[in-house]
Amino acid sequence: MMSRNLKWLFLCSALVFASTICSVAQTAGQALERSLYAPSPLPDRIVLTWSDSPATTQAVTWRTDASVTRPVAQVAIASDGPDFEHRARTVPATTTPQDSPQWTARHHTVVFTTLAPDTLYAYRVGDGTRWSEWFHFRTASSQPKPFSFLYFGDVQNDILQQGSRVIREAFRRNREASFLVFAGDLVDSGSDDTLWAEFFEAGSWIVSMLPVVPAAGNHEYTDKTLPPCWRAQFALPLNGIAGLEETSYYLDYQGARIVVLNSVRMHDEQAAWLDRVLECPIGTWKVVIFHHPLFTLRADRTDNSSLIKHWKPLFEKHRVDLVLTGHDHAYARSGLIGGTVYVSSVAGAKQRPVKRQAWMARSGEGVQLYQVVRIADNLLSYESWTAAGDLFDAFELRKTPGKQNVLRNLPIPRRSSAATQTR
Amino acid sequence: MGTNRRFYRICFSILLLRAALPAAAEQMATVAERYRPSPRPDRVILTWPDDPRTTQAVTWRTDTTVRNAIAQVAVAAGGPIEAARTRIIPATSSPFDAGPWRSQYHSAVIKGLSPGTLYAYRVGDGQTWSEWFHFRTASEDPEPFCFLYFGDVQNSIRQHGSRVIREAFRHAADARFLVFAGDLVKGGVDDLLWGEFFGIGGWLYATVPMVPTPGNTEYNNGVLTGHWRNQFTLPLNSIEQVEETAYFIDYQGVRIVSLDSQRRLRDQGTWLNRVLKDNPNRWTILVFHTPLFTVHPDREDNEYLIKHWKKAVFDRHHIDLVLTGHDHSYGRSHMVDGVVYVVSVAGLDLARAKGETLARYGENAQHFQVISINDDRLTFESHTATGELYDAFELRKRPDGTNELVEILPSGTGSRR
Repeated sequence: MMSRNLKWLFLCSALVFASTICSVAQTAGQALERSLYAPSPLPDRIVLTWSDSPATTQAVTWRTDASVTRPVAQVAIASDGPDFEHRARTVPATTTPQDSPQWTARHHTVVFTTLAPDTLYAYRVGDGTRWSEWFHFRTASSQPKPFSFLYFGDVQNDILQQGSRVIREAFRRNREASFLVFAGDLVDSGSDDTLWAEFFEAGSWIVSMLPVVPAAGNHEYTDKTLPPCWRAQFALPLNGIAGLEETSYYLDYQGARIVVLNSVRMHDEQAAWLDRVLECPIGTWKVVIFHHPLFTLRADRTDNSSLIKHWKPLFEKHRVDLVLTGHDHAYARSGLIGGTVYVSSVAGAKQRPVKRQAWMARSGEGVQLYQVVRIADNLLSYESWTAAGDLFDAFELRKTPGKQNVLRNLPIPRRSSAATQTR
Repeated sequence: MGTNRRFYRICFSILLLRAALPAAAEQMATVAERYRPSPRPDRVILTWPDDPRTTQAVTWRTDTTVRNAIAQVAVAAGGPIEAARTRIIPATSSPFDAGPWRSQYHSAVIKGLSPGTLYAYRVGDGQTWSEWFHFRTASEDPEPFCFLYFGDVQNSIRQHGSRVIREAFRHAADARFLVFAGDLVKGGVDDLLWGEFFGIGGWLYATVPMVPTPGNTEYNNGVLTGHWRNQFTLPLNSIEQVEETAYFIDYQGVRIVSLDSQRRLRDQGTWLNRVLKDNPNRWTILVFHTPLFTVHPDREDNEYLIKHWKKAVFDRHHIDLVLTGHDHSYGRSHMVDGVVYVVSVAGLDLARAKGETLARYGENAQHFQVISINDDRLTFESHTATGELYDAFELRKRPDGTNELVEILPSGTGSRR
């Protein structure tokens, strides 16, 4: 006969465990609510960026829950059949813990190095047993070679519902694009993980195949502080100034220098660095990307005197070809201002009226847009397209060494009547 | 003691369950959870049950809690879509026992659309919505277009099939639809495999309609998987027992006929005779799973199909192209009695190929095909998974309806072993 006490002990412990089972079941119910965006042991938010030369390196960042302790990525030159898998090399990842109010996540980064230029690779990420699918990416040529990229203004609001179609339509119509430029305010609140979830779902496998070149906008910041998720989820070059790591940087891509600036903070401090960075070989195309436009598009805002003071003289001095921005939730594109064309655009659903001004060669409002920039030898061609696939703005820049660019505005079909010409 | 023993047994069972729980939960979480239905629409796909100029069907999945499933549609504009200005189309909902869980499939058929127009739509229940997707209706009159054709995806769908679908789309982003020649998944009743299949396309399948034909793996002991008719909303214009597996669609001057190579073969031949006799389209393309002429060294030609389909039907009409799968390699014929026959494969489980009598054949590669139609020219390109051009030819239609076959690649370049 067992002792009454022992019996009670057993009963109690069993009941405690039974209640934990119930609570697990209950959490499973709640988890279902959040299952769309909660991290799991399976990789998600798989995004390509460059932290170094696009000709020989490729960074990939992804997210899991905290159960993944040995994250790795595999890479091989892509083959016609699946046999590339056997030639894949495995690279261990570095991990950044990322705790949001909703959940605990881990962001993992691998930088593939010593890649062959202008080559199609296949890669996957995982932990040795739980893998993503194999994705393709192509390294840049080590020499100047024609290429194109896509540029998006603020996605920011209603990201999945309304922003996704712009990113997808842009990808769909520009199969040759090499990377995606986001000019800040990717999300409405940089510390809100569910908004990043929307952003990455809108991009889905596109951003796992095409690298992202992001600039930070004011909505990525919370009270002058960049939430840690920015650096955790984007592996970017550490070639900017101290204090603005991975928000101020530059990349060289097939004959173009792509400079990303942080227009939220430290304008003055970035100037000396920018002066050095814009010093590059004759014939190099110089494209500068940041969030706040120098010249505002709106009646309720003023020109950015700090950027005009600290950066504009350098754009003129170094003959920057193109400056791409966002922030004002409308569209405007300048003629040549001191040799440079300035653009502010918007991809997302939030739209504001434009105050037409003399500097605007084209402007418009109430349209979600994406831009295609093609660079081939001494010609840069630019197109802005609406979400529904209508041409909205187009121009060409012709480069002659030692001279100012020649700008030619291209005709746009009448259907794009929303594009107001203020020339 | 009996009572005590039962008492302990119950206690131990609870403790054992407790011990097993984390492992089981983890397994569920990693493998299956990603494919569990929720109130939010997933597996959102486009198909045509009727005229692609004026009709578009959208089918999606949710869990069983969703009531009043609807789609909203409007002509796509450059600016944000205003939900208040959209048309609401109620969906037909079917509960479905998918195996690991119960789900619901919802199908909304949007009619009365304008030809050659870009639309935006979303699906949901008024509370939980998909994002807005685009689709384009077919033009009123025949205009040039292209589509993509894939052989069996079937094996290692997520790991290895995905890159083929995505690279194909990158090469032919303007493709108007995606033809799948059967064996989309290895086990047609396995909901997790369908999860993989729809997962690899994601938003792409919600934007570009698919034209699927079933293969042997969509059948289980002679029975078509319940997934098929629940998740594809296809034309009901053939004969009994092959509803939505045998059908035809006319798209901008091309009649695409899907045949079910698993069932009622002779009767489909009779039906096909009628479909081809009364055919105002300039081009006719047939899609089915099992090839007539095998490229697999261990298989034999399908004499039954040759007798009841080719001799009884194909040979009596102007058919341009026959697209198939099944053999897990690539083979493309010369002109055989006026018709070009293709076998292709998109996924894994690649097999050896024989092709002494073929124009091009090969093994160890995953393929996608881009087929472009422009007036009296049909251009066919087969690419490998990396995008490399593997095979290409052109059909030039003569006034009498017959074709001249013109090889585009130099002889022998595609026949790699």
